[in-house]
Amino acid sequence: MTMNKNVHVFMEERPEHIDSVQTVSDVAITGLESANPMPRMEVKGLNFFYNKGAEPALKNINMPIYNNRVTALIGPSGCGKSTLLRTMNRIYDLYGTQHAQGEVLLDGEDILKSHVDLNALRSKVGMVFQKPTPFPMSIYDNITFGLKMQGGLSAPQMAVRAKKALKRAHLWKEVKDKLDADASSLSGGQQQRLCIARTIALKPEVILMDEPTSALDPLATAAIEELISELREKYTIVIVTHNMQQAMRISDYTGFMYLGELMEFGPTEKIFHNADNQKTRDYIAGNFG
Amino acid sequence: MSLRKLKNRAFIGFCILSALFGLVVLSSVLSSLVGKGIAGMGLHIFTELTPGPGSHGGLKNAIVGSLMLTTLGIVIATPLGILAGTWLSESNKSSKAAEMLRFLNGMLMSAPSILIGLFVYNMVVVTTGSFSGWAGATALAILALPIIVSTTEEMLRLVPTTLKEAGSGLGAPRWQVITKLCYRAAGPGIITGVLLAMARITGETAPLLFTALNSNYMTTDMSQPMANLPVTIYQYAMSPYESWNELAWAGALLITTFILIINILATVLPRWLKARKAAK
Amino acid sequence: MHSTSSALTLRPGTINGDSIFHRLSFASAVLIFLVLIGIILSLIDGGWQALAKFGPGFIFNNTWDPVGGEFGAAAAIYGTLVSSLIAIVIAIPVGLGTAIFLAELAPQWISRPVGMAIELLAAVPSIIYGMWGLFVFAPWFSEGFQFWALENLVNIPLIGPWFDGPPIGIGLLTAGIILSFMILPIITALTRDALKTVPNVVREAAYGIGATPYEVITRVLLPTIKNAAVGAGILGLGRALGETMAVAFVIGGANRIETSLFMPASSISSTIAQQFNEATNELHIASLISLGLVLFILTFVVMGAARILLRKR
Repeated sequence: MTMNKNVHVFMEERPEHIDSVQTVSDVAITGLESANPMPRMEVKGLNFFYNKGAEPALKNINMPIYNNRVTALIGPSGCGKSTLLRTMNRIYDLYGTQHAQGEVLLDGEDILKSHVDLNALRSKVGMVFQKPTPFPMSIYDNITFGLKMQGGLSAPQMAVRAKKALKRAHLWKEVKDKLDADASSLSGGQQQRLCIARTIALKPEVILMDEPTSALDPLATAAIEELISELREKYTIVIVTHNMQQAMRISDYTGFMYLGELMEFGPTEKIFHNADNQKTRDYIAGNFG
Repeated sequence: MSLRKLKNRAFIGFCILSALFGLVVLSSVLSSLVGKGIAGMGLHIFTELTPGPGSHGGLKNAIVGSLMLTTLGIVIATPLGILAGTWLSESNKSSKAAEMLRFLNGMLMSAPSILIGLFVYNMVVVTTGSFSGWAGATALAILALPIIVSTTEEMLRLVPTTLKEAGSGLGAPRWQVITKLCYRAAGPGIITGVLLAMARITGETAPLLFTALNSNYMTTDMSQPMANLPVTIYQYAMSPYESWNELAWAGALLITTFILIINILATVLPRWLKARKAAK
Repeated sequence: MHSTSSALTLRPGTINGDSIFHRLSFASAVLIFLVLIGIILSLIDGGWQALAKFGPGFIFNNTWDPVGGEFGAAAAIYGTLVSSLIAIVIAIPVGLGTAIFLAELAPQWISRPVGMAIELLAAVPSIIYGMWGLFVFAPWFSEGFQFWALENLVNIPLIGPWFDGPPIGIGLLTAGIILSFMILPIITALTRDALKTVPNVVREAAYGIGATPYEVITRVLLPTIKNAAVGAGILGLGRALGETMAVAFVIGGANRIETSLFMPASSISSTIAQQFNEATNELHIASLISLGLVLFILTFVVMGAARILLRKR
């Protein structure tokens, strides 16, 4: 069934990718790996500290992030799921006091090493936040913000890229006539889709989402969830969510976290219906949280 | 009436009188400014040079000089102030160095302006050997600097961290996040700070006394002593000549009007900028 | 050691915008420190000749004789302190009263325009206050108050001698009054803002037990904002100490210490403003700069105290 879906993707995606060699090869990889998921990222023996000498906020986390799959992180608030997400693009590095121990591998390379170019890392591992974060500029400038930063694209190329990203985020129809309007004039759901478009415009490998629908109404949430299901075909997605139904609907794998530890990790089906760990079963059953 | 009620009435009465007191002072200052200023006002103020003792003339050179000194002072202070304010806002809140610099910035803001004049006299006038427009502009820049630093820091601290994280999350280096996102978000507030600093230095007299000095000539040469409104007003007001006194009042009206306009601009402009953005 | 082919590795030798920007902004921040240090050093350096010659006696000697070459700061310090003291004695109660009126008593359609008008007072440059003080206030003050005081206040024990002097409109008292107008807006604005930070539950609780506005404000609200109010007063004092132009117009410029507040006097800043450009011999210049150093220390101490108090709020 998984295979079927990906073959279908392959067919559907093809016409769109005549312009760029890179995308064609992306699709090829998708096709190859679909039968046998490969870890795109791997977390190994990760500990995380908010302050020097403080109790670790994450304790010995080990988990794979499979390619072209949606991995959900669930658990009660304060369990460390957002913290774990924030190590995957080292956004925590903005704050001098926080540090991580262990390994987080992206395509086999440890991103926690000090020589890592954080800007390059973050354009490969994009992030979408809890609240929509439109930049104080036009819709178009929002989309091209990261592209301009990377450089190397001509203005027409950038316009093509922006249009494609907006289409993929299902926002194009709504904004195509007002690309010059300020991004803050969009509704909350539109703003969040804009942030997703802004991220995928950079062609990241992995997209991290930190409770992306928690500030949105049910309709906007449904739109984003639909979008995530589609995006899995091209991207590897890690999503932190409070909403267990959401995790069940959109994810392929789920990790349950509790008190800074990863209690259980496995296919979503198994976690929700046949978990090994008692704590996981209790949480799923709504006994705490 | 009970004593309690009486006390209450007296107290409220005192508070109302206090507020009235300020209003009376303000209206007296403004009415004498307008009354005596209008009398000496005319086109000649803008077209004629400052006159010799007892004779008639205008304030052209002083107006031009003041505009140059103020503009240059702001041009020097703005980039430095914004950068320093950025450093303070980016530094860790508990950082000792930042805390000390914040305190010193406050002290610089409240240092008597005449001492800034003495400092620049020693640094610039003594070294170069002459009073000059440069010295005056430097003194004004030092006065404007701490105001710009503190408003910039305050405004940047109001920028939500999520915005910065989103910028970094797209792979933007920190300096680009600051210059392209934070400055844009905090822009209106920073502009207000710069305008307030400009309003403040426009009327400053004491720091110009020993730096730009004054001049009866029309000059745009910043390496020469430079005519300026505040010092001219001071000299003309303190003189026994009626024609000079009249010019002093006209100059006072001019400079106060200018400052009030900048002050109004400082409150209106950010709102207008935001409204325009939203309308677009 | 690490693989150099990796796409994520920082390439050595590429220009690092972050470190350039960080250095630039840090350098600008350090500039603040350098300017302040520069002010102190240049005041010490410029005043050294006088400080070395007169020693600590400089601040206690009240002779200021440019011709005879003897300089002491006592008269100027006295004038500065007394005029500033007069300013806060007037401005603190009036400022507090105005702040209370604006924040607690007046309806919004009054408090907004009145508040803006008071803030307008702060925008008026000091030289305008000086002119207004000399040409408008002083004549009125002479006729409206000083003549009356000469008849009615002089015989009061203790405070009588303060009012025993020439009713010429200018002098120490006039300088203090003009200064009070200038610091009124600061004190008003700071205390009004502090009052607005007091949560409404506090007011409701106090009014709820049947207290009058007077009781609520003086027993509950003012104690709550005590630090801010005191800080505002000290900040006003600091401003008054360093103010130059307004004082230079109306203080009279006499380097004497007199009991009468009607007598012309001088302050540190007005002495510097009036004499610096005319001073020709080096000792005179050095003495004026030493006066500046004294003023710097005075304001630094007062302003430092105000800032610490205001931050504690």
